[in-house]
Amino acid sequence: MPVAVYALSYKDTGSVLALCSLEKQAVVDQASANALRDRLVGDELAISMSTRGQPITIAAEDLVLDEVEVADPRALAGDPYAYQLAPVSDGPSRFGDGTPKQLVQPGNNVTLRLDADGTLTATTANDPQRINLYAILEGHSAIQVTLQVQSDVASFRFDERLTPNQAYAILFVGERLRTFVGLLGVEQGAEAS
Amino acid sequence: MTGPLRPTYSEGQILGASDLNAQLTYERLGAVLHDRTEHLWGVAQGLALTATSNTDTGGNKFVDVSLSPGRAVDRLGRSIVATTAVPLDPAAFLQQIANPGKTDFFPVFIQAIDVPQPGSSQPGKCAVSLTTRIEESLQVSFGNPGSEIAILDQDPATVDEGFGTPGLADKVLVGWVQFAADPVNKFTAVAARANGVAVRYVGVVASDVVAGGGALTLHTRSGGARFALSLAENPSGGCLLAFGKQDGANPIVPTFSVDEKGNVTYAGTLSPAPVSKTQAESGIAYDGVRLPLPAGVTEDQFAQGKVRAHILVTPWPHPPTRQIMPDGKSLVALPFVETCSVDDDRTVRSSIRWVDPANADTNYVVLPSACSYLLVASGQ
Repeated sequence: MPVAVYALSYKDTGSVLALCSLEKQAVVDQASANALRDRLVGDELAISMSTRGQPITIAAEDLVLDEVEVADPRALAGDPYAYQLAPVSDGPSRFGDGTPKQLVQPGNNVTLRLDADGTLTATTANDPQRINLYAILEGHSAIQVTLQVQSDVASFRFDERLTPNQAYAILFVGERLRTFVGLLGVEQGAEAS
Repeated sequence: MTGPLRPTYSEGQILGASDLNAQLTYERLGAVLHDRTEHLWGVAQGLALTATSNTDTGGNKFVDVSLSPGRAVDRLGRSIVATTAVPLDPAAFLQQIANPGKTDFFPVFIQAIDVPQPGSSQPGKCAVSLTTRIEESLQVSFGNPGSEIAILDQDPATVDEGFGTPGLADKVLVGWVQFAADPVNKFTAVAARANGVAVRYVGVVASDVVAGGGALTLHTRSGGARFALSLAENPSGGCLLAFGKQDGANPIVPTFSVDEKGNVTYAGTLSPAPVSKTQAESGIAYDGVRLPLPAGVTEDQFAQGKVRAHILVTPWPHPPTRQIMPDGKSLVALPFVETCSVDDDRTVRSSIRWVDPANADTNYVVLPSACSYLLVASGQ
């Protein structure tokens, strides 16, 4: 039986958050893609990363599933967060619409800084387009910030006082930006790599 | 349409013999119709052939055979009762069976016969010669091997036949004997099963059998060591169908049972064994992904236990990689497997502990990772 690789990505940015290879499924439209997504994650995707016992979770409706064309899925398994979805052809395509996608590695990195007042500051390379950014702090829901044209700094404010010098699990995704999944020390900015 | 005639009497009526006989006829017809329509004919109790070893003056061994007391019902619904043991006569056997084979089993039958009994004289009455009693007796007969088949296959007389007309074939098989014509002219063995058939016992015609106390049991014998099939409710509202041995009135030792939920327990083996299908799925899965079931296997089958999943997950190898540590510093960290398992709902938990080589016990970060998996689903 043919095998296919499916990517679970953040729906607005196409940032890959998980991969799974399995027997090729009939994913031909959004409904069938969502059905397979629900089979693979249930109600939410829980990422095993936390300093306080609660994994970062992403609701299933914030995820999309796409079949991705890759020659060797093993090459992706080490670091899927380095990839984002891109249409295979030039035609109209949306994430999770049932059309095959390819994976690209975004060239832009982001620098993150977490402060004790619960502010996460993201500094990106100057982008000529507006881009949507999303951040999840462990124990919190996702916050969205739209970075305006010609701007390169975005702030996310989580309603929690954070302990200085302690690390917190952060998930950060953005259009054309490399995904950051990891720990971030408070008041010690860290460059995602 | 005519129905049974039930005698009825009035005050001052002079009763004749016909009136009394009509009463008896009515009762007897009711009894035979009951036995023919609600039961299956055969031996009801006893009437077993018993052999007692013996030796003649020449030292030849033989057995004396007798029919034990008991009761049977023939196809006409007539009751055949032996109130005492009935010895079987070798001479009668020889009169009925010519040239008996030494190893053959010869069926033994009983048949109901009416034997009129003359009246007895009483003081003050003239001596009478009229019949005043009918003995419901029996006679024993023998047949050649194979003749029992036609007897056993007889259907009961139908209601429209009334009492029916007794014929030579209205017999009940009670067993088999072996006979040695030379040198003893005696019986040598008895059997309750021979020539591929067995003694036929009475049965019940019923489309619904209802137990009075929530427990219904079928036994292979009336007592002693036997087998039983029981259907019994229990105080918790459940029920158990059980089959097994039972010694007397002791509890059944079930070798097969089914409870009210359909759970089957058995001590032996299933033959033929149920066909188990096996399907597999394999690949790479990332932390948080719920492993899919193979094509054709549904979640319902899995949830109902009809399909079992055997899952093997193997951590994905990582080389030392630059990571950001909890202290915010970036360094080349060493990977160690933190978790690599699946939850009850088949969700992968796979993570790597990235460790600062200089401070492995305190400076590390746990990050999600991939694993390779093999899922084998087996079931019917």
